[in-house]
Amino acid sequence: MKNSSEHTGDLVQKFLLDQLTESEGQEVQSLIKDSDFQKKLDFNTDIYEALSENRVDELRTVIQEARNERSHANTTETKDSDQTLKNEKSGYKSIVMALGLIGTAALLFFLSPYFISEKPKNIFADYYQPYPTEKVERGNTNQSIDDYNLAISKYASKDYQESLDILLSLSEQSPKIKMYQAICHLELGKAEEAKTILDTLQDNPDTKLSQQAEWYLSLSYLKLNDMNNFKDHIKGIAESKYHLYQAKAKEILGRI
Amino acid sequence: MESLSRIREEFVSGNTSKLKELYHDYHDDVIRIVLSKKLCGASEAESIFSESLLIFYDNVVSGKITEVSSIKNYLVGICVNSLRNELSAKFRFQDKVNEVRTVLYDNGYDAPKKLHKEELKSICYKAMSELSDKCKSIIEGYYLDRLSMKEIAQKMNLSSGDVAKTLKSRCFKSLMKIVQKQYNEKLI
Repeated sequence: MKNSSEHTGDLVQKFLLDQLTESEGQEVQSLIKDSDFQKKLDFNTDIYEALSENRVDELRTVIQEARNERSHANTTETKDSDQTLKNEKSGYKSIVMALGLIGTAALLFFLSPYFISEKPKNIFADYYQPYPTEKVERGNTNQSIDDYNLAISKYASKDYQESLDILLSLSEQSPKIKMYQAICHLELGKAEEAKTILDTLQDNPDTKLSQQAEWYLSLSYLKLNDMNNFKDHIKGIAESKYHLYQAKAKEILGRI
Repeated sequence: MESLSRIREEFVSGNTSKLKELYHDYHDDVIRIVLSKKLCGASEAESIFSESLLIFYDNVVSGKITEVSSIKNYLVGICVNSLRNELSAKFRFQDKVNEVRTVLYDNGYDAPKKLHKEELKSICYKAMSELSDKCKSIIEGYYLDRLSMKEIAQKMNLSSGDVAKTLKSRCFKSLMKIVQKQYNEKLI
């Protein structure tokens, strides 16, 4: 037999998920003015909202990955078609050059494997993806929200300098805004600036954001060719049981 | 055309690559049609297309849509409506949350001091990661994918829906215990 607290808990859950029967609906109506029930309903609603938003955030990351795959594929395709055009123009020359390149690559491979497979920029290219963008709310009249959305829209279209300029001009500098600024810096080749911002975000109370900051901070060290600091950070991530990027960090450790 | 029930199965089994697949399959067509309506520029079309996929995911998982004549047209519809109304399409949980808050407000509820939403999200995220994989799956299945107890039992290889229900209550209690503890610590 359920106790009263469990029973009201069930009612609250069913209410949130639209699963109340008619009699349960009437029961909720009779309880809705009770302050304990209200508190329970309010807290459970907040939790439900937080869990749901976390799920949406995860899905946004998946979409962002698809977006990145697409833009990566397009870049490769353009490069490939350029190469084909050139090859058509000078077939023989290209074959000689290709053989030369293969020879050089083979030589480098035997002489210094580090430069071929474990170059910081190779690891960076394999693991870096921009921080996912958030939905752009339309029709908002608040100027700072409009500016924020414009910055995010510029960020999404890879116009990082413009996005950064707007983000820096915003009166509110939330941790998320700072995260976007850091990524803009990274994209613009200013890894030192990115590192400074990410350093401050590492201890943010928002666990998810702080873990993301830690990850991007590690990647900033790669950009700075600072393999010692990169290894230290990536090791720390790999050893954190619940870190968002633990699997990726372990993978990287297996490579370096 | 692929059936929505099959797509739903993949979504609720946690196969996020299905979402990526849909992104790649419909990206060009949907963006082209949306741009032809001249309601927005390319970057906004990109953002709205991404959002439309999330809304599609939400509607399929919740069972709000069980069949459509064309996924492409459905996605175009979400994008165009969103652009025309100048309102973003909402996730179903947002509607419910707003409804509950209105009900509480209408009944004279005086909300106590609360943590910022982002902090609560972070606490919940951490709390979920501290649960066992089984509990995490049950809570996600029940709250986020809205699976029935029978479906949860099948998914988790449990003997019956009743077993799933008992486990759900236990897991939810564990989650609330962790969340409540961290919530109170942060609130002080």
